[in-house]
Amino acid sequence: MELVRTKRKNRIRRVTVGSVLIYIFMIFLSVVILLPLLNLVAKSLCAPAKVPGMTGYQIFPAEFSLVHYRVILSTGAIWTALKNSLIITLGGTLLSVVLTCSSAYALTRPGLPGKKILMFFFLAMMVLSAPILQWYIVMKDYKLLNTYPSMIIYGCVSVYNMILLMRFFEDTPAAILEAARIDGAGDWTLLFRIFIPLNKVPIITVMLFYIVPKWNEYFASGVFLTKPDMRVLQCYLREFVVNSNSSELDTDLYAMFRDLNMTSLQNATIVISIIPLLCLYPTILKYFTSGVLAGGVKE
Amino acid sequence: MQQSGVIRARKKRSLARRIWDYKVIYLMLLPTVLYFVLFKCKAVAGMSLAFYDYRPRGTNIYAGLKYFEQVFSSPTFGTIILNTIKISLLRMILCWIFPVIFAIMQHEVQGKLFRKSVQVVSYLPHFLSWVVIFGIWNGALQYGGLLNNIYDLFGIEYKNLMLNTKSIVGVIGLSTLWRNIGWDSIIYLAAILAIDNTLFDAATVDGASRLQIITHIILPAIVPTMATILILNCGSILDAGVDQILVFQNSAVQSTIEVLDTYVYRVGLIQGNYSFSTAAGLFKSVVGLIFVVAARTASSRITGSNAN
Repeated sequence: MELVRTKRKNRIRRVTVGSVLIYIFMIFLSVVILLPLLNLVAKSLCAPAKVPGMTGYQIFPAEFSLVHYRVILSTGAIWTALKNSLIITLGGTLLSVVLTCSSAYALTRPGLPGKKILMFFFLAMMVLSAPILQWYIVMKDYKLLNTYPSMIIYGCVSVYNMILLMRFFEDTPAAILEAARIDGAGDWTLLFRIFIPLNKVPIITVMLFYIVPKWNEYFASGVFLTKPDMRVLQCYLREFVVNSNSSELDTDLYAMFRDLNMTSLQNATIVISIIPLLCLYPTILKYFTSGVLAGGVKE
Repeated sequence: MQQSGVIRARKKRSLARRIWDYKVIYLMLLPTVLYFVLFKCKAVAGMSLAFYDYRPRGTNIYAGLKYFEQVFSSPTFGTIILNTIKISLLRMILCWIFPVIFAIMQHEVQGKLFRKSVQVVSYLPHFLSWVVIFGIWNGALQYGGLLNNIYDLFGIEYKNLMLNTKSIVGVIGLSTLWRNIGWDSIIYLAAILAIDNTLFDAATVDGASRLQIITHIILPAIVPTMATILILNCGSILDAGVDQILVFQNSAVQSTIEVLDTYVYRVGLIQGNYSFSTAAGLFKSVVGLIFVVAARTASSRITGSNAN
């Protein structure tokens, strides 16, 4: 379903107090969301000497300069963090999507013996949860601490997404399946040649449902990946932005540090971390809303 | 008699055969089942540590209910539960009422481009990590930030709201609303869009005002959705959002917004009291599970009765 209102005919529209209030509220909301964000970007792009003089509502830098970005990007730590985040996000999403698709396909096969037991098992797995400490001990037992697989495996199948896909797989026309079966297609062929191509939209939606939280995750990755060279971007960001720990910067850069602005350095790091998301945002808007509606309340 | 016996025999034979027929399907399910059994079940079962003294090497020693007694007699535990409920109730109410209002407003707005732009802007914060949101909010609330400028405009002295025990809970609630208002409104907007057009036409013909249309047509139509969302959210009353709280905690306000999840994390992984932390975690998991199951049962009743 698209979030565009169908034309409600014959509705007389006049400029009323109510409609003015609505416009004011919506503009207010957009400003509250955008202004701090744009201010943050402006400060990150501002020359160090001029940053303290900038107000909280300026959306253009007082004096344009890329020096903070240059400093941040010249540290090795951020590149390591970016690399780790990319490996975990892409690897994790690939594994998640493959597992979710294949299990959704399997569970929607008509007449599958034991389907009820399996569904009960998966639903139980959905509602049960364990504290992060228990996950830490499990990863430690398998000697997965400080390795990529720990974060790739952690939360790799979401039962919610699986059920979402099952709903779409169930709607695949039976005639196509019959025809494919007669032509001698096996289950793998059916899955890869028919189900996945036919359900591109829900699968991309589910893929985004995995990518965004994986990229934004910092809690479990901070627990599993403690070595500096394994740290992901969000943990680097937390160390630098939340804890204001500037030891991340190289020592020779630290000498220059007095001339730089700490807030701007932090802001530049934040901007670097959200650029990949902003690139994905148009795709997200296209697919996510439909996914939310499909998943929605109907569980 | 004889015939039914034959049928039963055939059925029996066919079950084993059917399972064999589906071998490829089971193979497809195997990795997912393995993940849940080897990782998630193991982690959940690992909570039995609450009944044992943890030893890094060798087997753990059975300790009975010792750690539960410690948890419940700990002076901070009651406060932490209260904090948890306070914060999650605040978040729940804010993120329940305002998205509804926002959805109705989106439906009322005429300009398509204007509506689209507001939607695009309002959905954005949902995709930012809590660390980034903290960065943005910290920038706006710190001394010399946006809010300080506004206070100056009215000549009021500004105190950093993030370092104030009185305002930090409000900051947590509002930042959650900031992140979710647009995103959470989608589901209500969908419910409004699903309303039959003829209802609006009939109301207009009868001379209903826009406010009357909202109160008599739109609100009744989205009440089931609102009820379902509220009930489902009640299921997670003990989840006060560990990702968010951890970044907003600073030394000035740490105890004010210490919630169950952050407490379990801090005591367990930071201080190393594994068994004690697990006992608190197990308590949270069990109570949380009861809430979740109750909420899901209740919501399926509601959606069922509304044929949704």
